[in-house]
Amino acid sequence: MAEIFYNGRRVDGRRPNEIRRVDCQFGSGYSDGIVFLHQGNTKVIASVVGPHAPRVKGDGTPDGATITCQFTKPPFASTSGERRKLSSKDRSANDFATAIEEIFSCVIRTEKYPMSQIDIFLEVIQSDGSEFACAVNATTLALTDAGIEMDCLVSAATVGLWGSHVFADLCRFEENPRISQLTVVCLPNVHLLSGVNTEEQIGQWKSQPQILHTRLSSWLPVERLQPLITEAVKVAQTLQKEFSYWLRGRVRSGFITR
Amino acid sequence: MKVLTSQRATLKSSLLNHIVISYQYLITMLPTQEVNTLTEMLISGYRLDGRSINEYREISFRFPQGKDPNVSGCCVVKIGATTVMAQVSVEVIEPKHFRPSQGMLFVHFDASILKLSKTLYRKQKRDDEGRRLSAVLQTLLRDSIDLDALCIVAWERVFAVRVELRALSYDGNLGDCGTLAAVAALAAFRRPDVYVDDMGKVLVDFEAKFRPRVPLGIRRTPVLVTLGLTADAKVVLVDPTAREELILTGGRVLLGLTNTSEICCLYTTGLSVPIQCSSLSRCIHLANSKAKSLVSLINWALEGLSIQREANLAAAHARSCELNNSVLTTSNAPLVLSTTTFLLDKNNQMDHETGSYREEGEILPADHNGLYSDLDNDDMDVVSSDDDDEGKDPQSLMKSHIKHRNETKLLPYGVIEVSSSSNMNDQISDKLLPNSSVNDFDEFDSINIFNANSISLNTSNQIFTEGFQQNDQIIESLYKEPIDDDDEEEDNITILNLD
Repeated sequence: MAEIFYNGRRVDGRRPNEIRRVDCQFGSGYSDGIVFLHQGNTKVIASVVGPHAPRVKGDGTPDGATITCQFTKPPFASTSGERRKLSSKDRSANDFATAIEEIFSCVIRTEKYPMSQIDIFLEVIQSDGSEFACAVNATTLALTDAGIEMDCLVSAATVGLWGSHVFADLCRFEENPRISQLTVVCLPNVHLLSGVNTEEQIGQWKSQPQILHTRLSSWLPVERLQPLITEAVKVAQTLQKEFSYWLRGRVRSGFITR
Repeated sequence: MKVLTSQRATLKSSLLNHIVISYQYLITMLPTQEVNTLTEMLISGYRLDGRSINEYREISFRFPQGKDPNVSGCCVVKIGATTVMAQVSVEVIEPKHFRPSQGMLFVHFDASILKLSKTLYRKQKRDDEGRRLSAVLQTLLRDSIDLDALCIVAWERVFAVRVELRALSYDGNLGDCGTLAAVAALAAFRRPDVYVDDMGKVLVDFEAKFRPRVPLGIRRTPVLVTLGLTADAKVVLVDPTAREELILTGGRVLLGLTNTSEICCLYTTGLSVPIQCSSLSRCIHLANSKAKSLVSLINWALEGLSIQREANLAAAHARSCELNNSVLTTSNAPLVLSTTTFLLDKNNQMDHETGSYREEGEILPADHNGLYSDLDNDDMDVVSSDDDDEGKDPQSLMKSHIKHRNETKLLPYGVIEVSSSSNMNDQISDKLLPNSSVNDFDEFDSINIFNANSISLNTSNQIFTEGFQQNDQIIESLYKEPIDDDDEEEDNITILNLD
């Protein structure tokens, strides 16, 4: 077993503030939006179907769209070689699905699509740490590719605290109980308030990023939590700029093919 | 005003559409006027049930007993009208290959009662709230128990601790109630011990024949604090009720904290508007002081539970000459341990007949000096101001009855108790605790007789012969009790039949 942190380098050779290589492929098929997202060795396929009429008769609401999410992790997904059976009783998968439904019901403008349903299908092809963050990022790209109207892009990042060092974008070896890891889902610096605001309020809103979802998985003193959140938000915003570049390229390639 | 009018318009249109489609949606919707009234109350800092923004409801712990009263790891916690039951059981299984010498902890939260009241999706089978709270409690409790001590034989057998939680009634804030129940049940649970046989085999003493049961090793006491946020994250509520959860469209923040300002769970759910880092740090700071109060409350409840168990053991193993005292201590140890807010009505403060302040299920603390240092300064200021304002009246009332000094002791959540110490009570029994079954009229009369005797004896001279007469009166009062209530005091009947 290699050292977690030695001589300024992490177990996979990265520096503390360095994220893994992120790559994205937009697919085309029967779904309205398909994205294959790599973050290092974590690979997630996100498919979005919709908006369409609800399949069950009483499920639609007149206020807006209903968002459903299905999170699947096949037995061959883990890079540690462990094989687990795929079952509907998997606790973490259902927890992730519920959280993603809540996140995107807040971001998607559901009032544009009354009495309809938007389905999100997530499948983890390979798991090497930071699954939830990668799934949220893939869902954002897939929803944008499907043309569903959202307020802004959502980006997620996982950050770990090892002594006095903050590790960005944890891999599998760094996801252990000795490293306190925090996952943050955040939005860019866009104020969403409606109505008249004073200049002071606008200044306060613009200066601070906005957090939509957090989860912390290990014990941590309270004083160290605030810098950890700040670092996680920085990493998430870096990923978000990368995603916006890809989506612009996607738009241009769409124009060319027409 | 524009925001309010737009909200009213959307609510009215949604109400009309809900009436057209189905009747079930009306259950979860509140009327527009109620929404506006509650919103204005919350903005101005008031709540519907009279609490302040940073205040919990009444929390009560109950430890129902099974076959063996010293072993059962069951706990029922009520926060207001929310009730959660936790049951801890243990079994021996084979460990995982990547952790061969560690025990396991499984947490399952059954919140299926929410499906009855919230039927947004007819065919939605997932128990979202239960799964979410199971994940949160797994994170909280996994590091609070010493799992390495649960190993029997490495690579072969380890103990698996299973915590089953079930929501019995729902009025908001299942997370805090479930965490209190789980932590108290784990602290009250005793697992079977392991011994080595003459043949050299390692055996588990499930029936406690050779060794008594052993408590689990608990490293820290985690506590979950749920904060509700309004839509613009300006008002942060502690302990939201079910009605307030419908209004708090900003979502909830679940914070898992300990006594020593350690945080292990920062879980935000249902945020319809994203919050800033400053709002999140404000939530953490608010929850930190609440968590310290809750941890001291758990320690206080567990201390009451140990008093009950000691009284039961003393009654079970008492000699014939010590039987009366042990039976008294057993009957006086209450089964419900709760915090009660200090009532402002003067009539409820004092029982004039008995001359002592007592609430149902309340324990007079023996030594709680260490707990006061845990409270924050803000809480202490509030409690001390209450003491200055309202402490005078019970003192004046107590002076007319008993001439001895009065001691006011401070408990979490501002509970003020006035306890009287007299010499005769010390002679009768070392630990005289108030009776929990005050509701029964006959027992109440017997208690009054007992207290009246003690008061009358204080005035007269203390003679040794009168002590014997008092013991005879105690025996007579004890014989009267089981005739009226046979079911409640089967233990007393069996103990008395031995004579």
